[in-house]
Amino acid sequence: MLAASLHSEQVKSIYDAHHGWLECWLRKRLGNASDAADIAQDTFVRVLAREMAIREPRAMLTTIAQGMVANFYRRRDIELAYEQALAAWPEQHAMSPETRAIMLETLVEIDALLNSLPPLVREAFLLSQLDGMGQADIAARLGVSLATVKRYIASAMLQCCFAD
Amino acid sequence: MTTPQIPPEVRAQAVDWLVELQSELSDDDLRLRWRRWHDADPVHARAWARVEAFGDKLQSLQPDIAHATLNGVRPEQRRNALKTLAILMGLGASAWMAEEETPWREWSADRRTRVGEQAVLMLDDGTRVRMNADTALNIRYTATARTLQLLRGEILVTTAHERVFAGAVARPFSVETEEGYARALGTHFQVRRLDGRSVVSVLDGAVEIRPAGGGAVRLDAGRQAGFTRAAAGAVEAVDDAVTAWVDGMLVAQDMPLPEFLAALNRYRPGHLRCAPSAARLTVSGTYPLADSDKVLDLLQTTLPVKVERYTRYWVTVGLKK
Repeated sequence: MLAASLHSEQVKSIYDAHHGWLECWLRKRLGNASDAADIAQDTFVRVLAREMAIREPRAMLTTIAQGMVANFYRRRDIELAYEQALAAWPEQHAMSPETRAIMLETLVEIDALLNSLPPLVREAFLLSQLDGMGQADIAARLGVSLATVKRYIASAMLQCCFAD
Repeated sequence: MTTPQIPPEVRAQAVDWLVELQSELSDDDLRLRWRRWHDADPVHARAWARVEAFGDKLQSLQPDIAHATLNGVRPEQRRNALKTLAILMGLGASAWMAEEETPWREWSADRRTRVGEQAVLMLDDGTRVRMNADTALNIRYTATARTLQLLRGEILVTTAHERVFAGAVARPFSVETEEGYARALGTHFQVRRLDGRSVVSVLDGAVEIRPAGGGAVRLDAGRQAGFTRAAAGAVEAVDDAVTAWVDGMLVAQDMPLPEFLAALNRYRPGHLRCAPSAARLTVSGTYPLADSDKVLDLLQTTLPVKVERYTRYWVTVGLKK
């Protein structure tokens, strides 16, 4: 545990030295002070969770913060797409606000899990697991073999079920 | 950590079972076999519970909305990897260049070449990887290691000395295959995977190979060795022809015809088959890969064979009657 406390000591000193600078950096990118403050905090939480020596604090902080900014925008895109999908759906009023919110969270999570997958793998996964389309039909639709469709679905599933 | 991790092979088995159970051919017999797998080991049951938990999550979604939402966002995947990974396609079609360099890089990407397609990858540490046709490669760069996973096919690697920042240690570079791994001690080497065997040929520098279940063997420049999961084979001199594919050539020296056709098949779609009657013939010579039809025609003039084409995709080479 000695190593861990050394690490949190180190993070604390980096926080003191670089927090103001990071928030400023984020504000320039986001154009919004409260979002910048949130992401700056989240960035340090992430640094604290990674128990590794920090040699280049600013480079590391910007790398992590950049990822978080991308996630932030990504989430906004998903919210927008979700609103549009809801608007096009005739039974939208049947859904409670809670259900809507939970569904959005689930979609953000699944999107992040599928993010690293090639487009065809992602599409095969969505067609089979969301739309319930048969594997042979997916193969025909995507113009690949049945074995490939199975491999696509399996690799997406592997990513989704065992993301740690 | 109270419960140990679920091993990767069990994870893969669990999702494979799911895919089979969801397939049109699923029947009682399959369910029975799945049940046996499930009950055989508590780790299997734990892996399956993870698959089911994710299934429950999907069930909670309204399919139309979920699909529309997920398709409504730009597919952003790969963009991050490509930012740091400049890819020059075989014919120089296009390239993405690194946008910003940071000393702290962690990313992964998967690359496949199709039949007849080669590609050159420039990785962000300066390492250059040339992929032969029909090759599958995963690139896994983390904060502590640079790893290429060769699933299928052939790559020629020129590693770069990683620039090292303030006291950091250069990350080791290695190529992993199903059979084991090759760790670069030097700069220029080739790894090929075929039929449960990996072959490493060192052109410059040195490479340490380590079969999954065997001891390490050091290969210096000009040496090559094959290995299976169990052990490494004999160390021998590198054959000049091993990198001929880089120049678009297939060089054969008393190569059995079936092996020659298998190599050629990586450059043309469809099925290229050697009839049993011609399986004992051998081929020598240098052949251009770009025009495999011409190579087949050439074979008819140098060997007592007849090439039968049913379509462009179904070709059999047999003894001339």
